[in-house]
Amino acid sequence: MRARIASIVGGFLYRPSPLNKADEQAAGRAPDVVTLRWLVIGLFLIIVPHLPRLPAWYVVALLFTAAERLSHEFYRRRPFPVTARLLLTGLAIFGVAAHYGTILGRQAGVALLCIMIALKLLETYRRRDVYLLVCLAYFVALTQFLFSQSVYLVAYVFVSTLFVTGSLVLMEGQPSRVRGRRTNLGGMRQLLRNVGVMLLQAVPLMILMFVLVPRFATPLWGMPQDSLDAKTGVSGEMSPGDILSLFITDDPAFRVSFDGPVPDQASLYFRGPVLWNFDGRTWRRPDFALRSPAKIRQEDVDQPVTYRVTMEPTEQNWVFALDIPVGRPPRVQMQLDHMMYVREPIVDVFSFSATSDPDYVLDPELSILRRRASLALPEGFDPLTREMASRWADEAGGNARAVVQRALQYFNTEEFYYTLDPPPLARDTADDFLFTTRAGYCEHYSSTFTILMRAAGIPARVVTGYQGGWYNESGEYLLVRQSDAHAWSEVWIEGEGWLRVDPTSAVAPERVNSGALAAIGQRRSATDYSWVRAIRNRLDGIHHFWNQWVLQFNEARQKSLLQPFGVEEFKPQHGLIALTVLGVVVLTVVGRWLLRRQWIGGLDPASKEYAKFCRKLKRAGVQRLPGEGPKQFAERARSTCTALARQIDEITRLYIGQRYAPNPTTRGLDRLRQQVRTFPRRPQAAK
Amino acid sequence: MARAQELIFRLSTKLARRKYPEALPVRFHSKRVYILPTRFGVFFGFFTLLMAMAGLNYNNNMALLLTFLIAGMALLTPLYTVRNLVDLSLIEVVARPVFAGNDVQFAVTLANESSQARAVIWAECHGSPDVTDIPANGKATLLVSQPTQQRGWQPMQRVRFVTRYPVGLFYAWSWTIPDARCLVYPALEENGQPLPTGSGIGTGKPERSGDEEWSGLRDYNPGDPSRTIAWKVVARTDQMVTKTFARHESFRIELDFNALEQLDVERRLSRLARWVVDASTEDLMFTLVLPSARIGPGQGDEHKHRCLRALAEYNG
Repeated sequence: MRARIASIVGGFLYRPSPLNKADEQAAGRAPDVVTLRWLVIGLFLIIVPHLPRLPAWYVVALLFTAAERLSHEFYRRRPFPVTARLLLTGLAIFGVAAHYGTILGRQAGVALLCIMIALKLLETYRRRDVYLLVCLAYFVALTQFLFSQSVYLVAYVFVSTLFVTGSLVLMEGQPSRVRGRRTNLGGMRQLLRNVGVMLLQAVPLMILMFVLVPRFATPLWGMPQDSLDAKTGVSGEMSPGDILSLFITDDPAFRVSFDGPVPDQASLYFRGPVLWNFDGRTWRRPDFALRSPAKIRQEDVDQPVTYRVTMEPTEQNWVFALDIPVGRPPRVQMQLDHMMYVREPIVDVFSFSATSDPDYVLDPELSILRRRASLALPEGFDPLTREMASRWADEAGGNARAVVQRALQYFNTEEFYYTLDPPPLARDTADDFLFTTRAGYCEHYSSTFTILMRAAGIPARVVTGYQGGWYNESGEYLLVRQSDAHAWSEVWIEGEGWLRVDPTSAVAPERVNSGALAAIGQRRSATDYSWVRAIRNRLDGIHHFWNQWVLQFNEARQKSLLQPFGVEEFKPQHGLIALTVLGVVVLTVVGRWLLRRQWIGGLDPASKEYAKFCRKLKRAGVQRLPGEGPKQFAERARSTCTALARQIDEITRLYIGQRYAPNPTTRGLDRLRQQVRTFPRRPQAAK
Repeated sequence: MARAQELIFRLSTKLARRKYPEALPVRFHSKRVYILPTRFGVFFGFFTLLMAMAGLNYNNNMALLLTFLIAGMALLTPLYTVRNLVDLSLIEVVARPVFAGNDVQFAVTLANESSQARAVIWAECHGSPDVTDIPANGKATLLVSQPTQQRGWQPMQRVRFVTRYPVGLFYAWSWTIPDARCLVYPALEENGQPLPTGSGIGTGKPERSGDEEWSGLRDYNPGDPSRTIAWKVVARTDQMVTKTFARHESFRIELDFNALEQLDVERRLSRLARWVVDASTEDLMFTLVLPSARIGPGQGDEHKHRCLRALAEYNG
């Protein structure tokens, strides 16, 4: 029994290499080096976008297995032994587990898939191994879209699919190639072209299926939650002393299409998480008591701005809206401090409409709980700052506005610098910043300012979000990038509610007017030129279009698809019927084109030219009789059109040379063409 | 699955309209080109379904786009596969005679009269299949083998032309029984009797000694019997040289069907075939005597084939 199991397992794992490689390859049962090479290129192309997410040793492993397998086509060696393959598999799984801490989840799963590809290469000795690898490659291409749905990736995946599909064509064409029975089907470029044409012809079918295949309203199984993935965007916390990373990326955060005119640059504050709690180093979101829903006094809204926000995936819950948001769709919640959020993290492009009123009075009354939360400061931190703030408060004599002005003036007149590369701060961040380093960006200014206000007895909090953006004229939308992330403060003043104060603008007004990049006045990287940024901004229009029309297509949109045609509700069966009918139409059209009669009347190019020549002579009354040879015909023609005798002879000679010579030349054909062309259209018959 | 394909193949034979040989040229119109998915094609179908389910579940539109692109391509490939085979013409079948028991190789020529080159067309009969590409407006020849059992004219059996081009998801095929035949010589007798000996007309006995006159040397030609090679000269000059003999009419041998009355007809033919081949190898002048005909005396390949053909066609 044990022997039997061993033999089954052994037979499953070990397939001896074909005894007669040449025969197997000629019969198309085993891939040859051309097929393999192409396949390896395709696999590499498919895997490259995953590489940053894969452990570093993966590249080595893939290169090794590819080289190992390809070398078998050049040297007579035994295939990689089974035990070694098993060992490598175990090692690889262990490696993945060690790298990701798990073998479940999105990243680890993809890594395992990639490793399967690399190891499968070692034992690709059969046609069906090639088929399996191709299917795996398609699947790995698919998994790329779990991480990014950028429009550029589409083009890339199209190209790599071209290569992978090309290796199928090579596998199929291998028998005649190996046997030297290959004809003028062209080289690799031709192959790429052919496969490319095939894929392009599939595009109409793809669009049909995309639009008409019934979508699920609710998923059959859950979304993979992968806590290991890096979250992007504003984080919901703020530690001014720490190293920044957010500013560096120019990735789009969201795009806003305004229904009316776009507000001016200086008022484009997009409200994100509001931070209340400070522990001396880090600002955090409020306690649960302060997370109750906001109550909006609709009667106080007088100048509403309506717009639509399309967010890139962030894996966070909060969404961003123009300050101060007062209207929201039902699926978006709004917290007491007017921070908006959704219940599930945003893993797909997410779009919603909202209304804002910049002059809305936020919290005319401040409850005791909120007042206490917005005045709290940790004990034993920043003594110098607190001392200065209480001195200002004493001098202002209870006038909160005066204290705010004093603080802004302080930032403005003293030697403060705006920089994206500030020195790290010591334990007492505000003290260190105010009196020592004096260099920082929005986080430093808003944090320090808020501490100053609280120390002066004025309720204050930090608001994080984005400020500014770039207006795309052609697409008529505002693009907000990650580099537009910003932090500012809000102070509560009796009778006026929460007021936005941006201390950064006191130091670097251009930050608010033209963005963080302009404020630092220098390039951040080698490619950071304004014209590069201009091009990138233009290209962003494609992204916006892609987000709007492709990525956001879902079950709801599909339902409203046929409304213009009078169908109120789109049911799955409608989709399937329409898909079948239209699919047949498309296939018929493409099929008609593919299978169109491709006769050239049974004529080779030389005969075609000769037929033209005969037609010309017919006009002079010399018609070629059925079964008449070219020489006889030439004789008759010569006697009729004596003036053209020389040319008639020449054409006949060239034609016979082309038709009946053992190896006709293209030069001869060209000359025949030229002679026929110059032959008079209406030859003159001799009287 | 391979068995299922075989079953379909057999069923198609039963159901097919063409059970009789067709005169050449045979053109494979679209009506007689059949198509089915291959095993890989079926697997691929399930695989794309799986990919589509994953995409639909997460409403990952990019994944769906990729899946549908691949699925769309897969749906198009049968058109490509049919195009690769349709409207080819079988214009010529040539076969060289073989001895019964050996496989006959039919050289079938396909003509492609379209401007579209054809790739990887397989011809399957019985033995190992052959494959070729066919250029636009060109032709190509494939070799299909077929076993033989008995002498005589053997008709060509059904031949199937198959293609899976371009991606192997579908296979299209068309079959025909071309009106072609092959001459099968009688099987050569194994461990046969030596050539009959004797001198003079009618005795069937060759006499070599003395009467065969050495007349000179000439360059070696492939096929010269080793007996006639002038080995001494070869050893001396390193050149292959053959001795030539002048022969007299009297050294003809006669291979007589009637002289072998102790055997049945097929055995006799078999033995005669062996003798014809042997005599021809020995480069002897010989005459074949059959009840109905008398061939020869003659010598050389042409004569050999005439005799063998007479033996193959012999019918009492």
